Amino acid sequence: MPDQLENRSAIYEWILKRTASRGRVLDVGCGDGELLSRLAEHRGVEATGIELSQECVIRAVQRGLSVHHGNAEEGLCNYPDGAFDLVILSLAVQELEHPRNVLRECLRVGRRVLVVFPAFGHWRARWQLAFLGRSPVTPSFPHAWHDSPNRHYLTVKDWEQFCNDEGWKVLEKGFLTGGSTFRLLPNLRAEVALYLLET
Amino acid sequence: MQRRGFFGVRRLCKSKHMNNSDDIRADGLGLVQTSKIRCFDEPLVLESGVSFGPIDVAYETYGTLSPQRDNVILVCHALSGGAHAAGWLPGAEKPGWWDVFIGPGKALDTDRYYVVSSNVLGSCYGTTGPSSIDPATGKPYGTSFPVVTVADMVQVQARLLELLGIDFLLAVIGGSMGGMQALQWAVQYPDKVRSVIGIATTSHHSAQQIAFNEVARQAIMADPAWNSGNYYETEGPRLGLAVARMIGHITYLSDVGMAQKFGRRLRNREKFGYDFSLDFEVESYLRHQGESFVGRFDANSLLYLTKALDYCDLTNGGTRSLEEAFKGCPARFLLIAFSSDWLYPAYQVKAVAHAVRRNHGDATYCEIRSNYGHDAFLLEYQEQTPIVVSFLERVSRAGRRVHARSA
Repeated sequence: MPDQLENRSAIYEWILKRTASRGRVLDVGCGDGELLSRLAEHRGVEATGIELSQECVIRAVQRGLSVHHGNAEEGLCNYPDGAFDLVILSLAVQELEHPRNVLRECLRVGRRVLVVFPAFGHWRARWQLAFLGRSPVTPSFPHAWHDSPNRHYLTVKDWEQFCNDEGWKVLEKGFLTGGSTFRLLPNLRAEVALYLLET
Repeated sequence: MQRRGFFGVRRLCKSKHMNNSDDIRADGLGLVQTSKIRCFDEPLVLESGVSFGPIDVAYETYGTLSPQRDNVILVCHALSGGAHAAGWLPGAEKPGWWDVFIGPGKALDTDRYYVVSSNVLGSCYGTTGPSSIDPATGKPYGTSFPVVTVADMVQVQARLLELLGIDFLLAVIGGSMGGMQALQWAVQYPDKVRSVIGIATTSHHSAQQIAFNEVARQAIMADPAWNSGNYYETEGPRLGLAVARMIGHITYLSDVGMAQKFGRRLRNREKFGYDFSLDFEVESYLRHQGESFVGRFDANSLLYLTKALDYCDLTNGGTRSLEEAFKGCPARFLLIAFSSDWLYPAYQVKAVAHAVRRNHGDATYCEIRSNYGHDAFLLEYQEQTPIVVSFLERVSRAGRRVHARSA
């Protein structure tokens, strides 16, 4: 995600800090495997990915990763319960067809799940919709309405409600704007939200 | 050593293809040779319970065996292949069947790996099969040759490796029938295989795959010249074998691939002939494939090998799940499918990956977009090369760690 450049290394740092050494990590929607290969390099994890794009799968395999070429549901359903120490769903939940099913599967195959999503409640998005009357185009939502890969537009509040309804335990959360973390008024100010979950 | 021989070949061949193939030969293995070895002197007990012997095996090797003997890759061929997988035999006009994939700097890099390729039991390219001479009678076995299975083929390969002083495979790789052998290896000799690369393959044939094989067999057996398999003193079932191969080639292509390659184009004519002569390009292609196969393959071998494929079933007739079949198998798997392959559809390849994962195993699965149908496993080598190279690199690295730990 080139438009997430500012937040990208902060996302990585946040994930790295919460990744135990030598564990088994699954990245759902791993893209070209950059995140996984860095985790493998810095934490010595056994890295596995699921990815839909053929070109990305080939690049991820070239980085020395084990990859399933296919969609998230199909990729996840054949892993045994608790097969991974950590399952990462980074900037993917907003694109999934059935996020609830995928997240339940993630929590089944992983002891912990780390979810990163672009937060739609950011003041810039609110401003564009409320006062300009336009579909928001922001650093977190860089696409015009007609060519966005996103299916869902969720806010920090939406997400917390969702976790609550599902009975998932939030172990940790983090919010990013302009590449740095903050705590105050996350629903209004967060460009990206990060959650570490457990069932 | 082999590349020096290359110049010898150039003098031997006066083919008009010479100039085109010069470049290919220069970056490949050059001249190679097929060896033959007696693998079983005493009868071997086959999966069917029948004892059979002696068994000779034709094989080739490329590259250099490392002092630790830990760089061996076994290549398994498909239905009509043989031991000659790469390089050039003296006087040949074409290199081995997987020359684009095996050689210095290629996917199976012979500067790093020691590649072993052998002809399967029941085939007709040097390993004992129905066209071999039965020492008891002095005549070809014909249908007195026992029905063999993929497990038998693998048992013979294991014996060959033993005779070559190899007790461990870095990888076993194959497409189609070769992939079925590779999967069988993982189940039959789990301790001897560090990784398995299965391409356009399956753990067991579906009804559709058996059906096409049966039509091919019936085409041969319906030819009066087949003569219950005793035809070695005659021309044999040329028409039956050609039709069997034509059926095969239809299943190796795809609808869209055929449309692109032939469409409705006519062959050497502007209008329909309004007779049963050759009208369409696709007819010409199939006839050519059928006819050229007759000159290079034994009809009985086709019967035996297709039967072996139909019998192959890692689930033992459904008495165990695929997951149970791979239980306790530490190998890492790379499984490759092709989008337009309807003979060995992607779901079959994917099912193997899923079974491995359900056992907490390591399986990489990739489905490559291609219009070439089942033939893609040979034609799409440029797409497969980076995947296979990186996978082998990872497997070798993991192996070195194991060595370091145990040392």
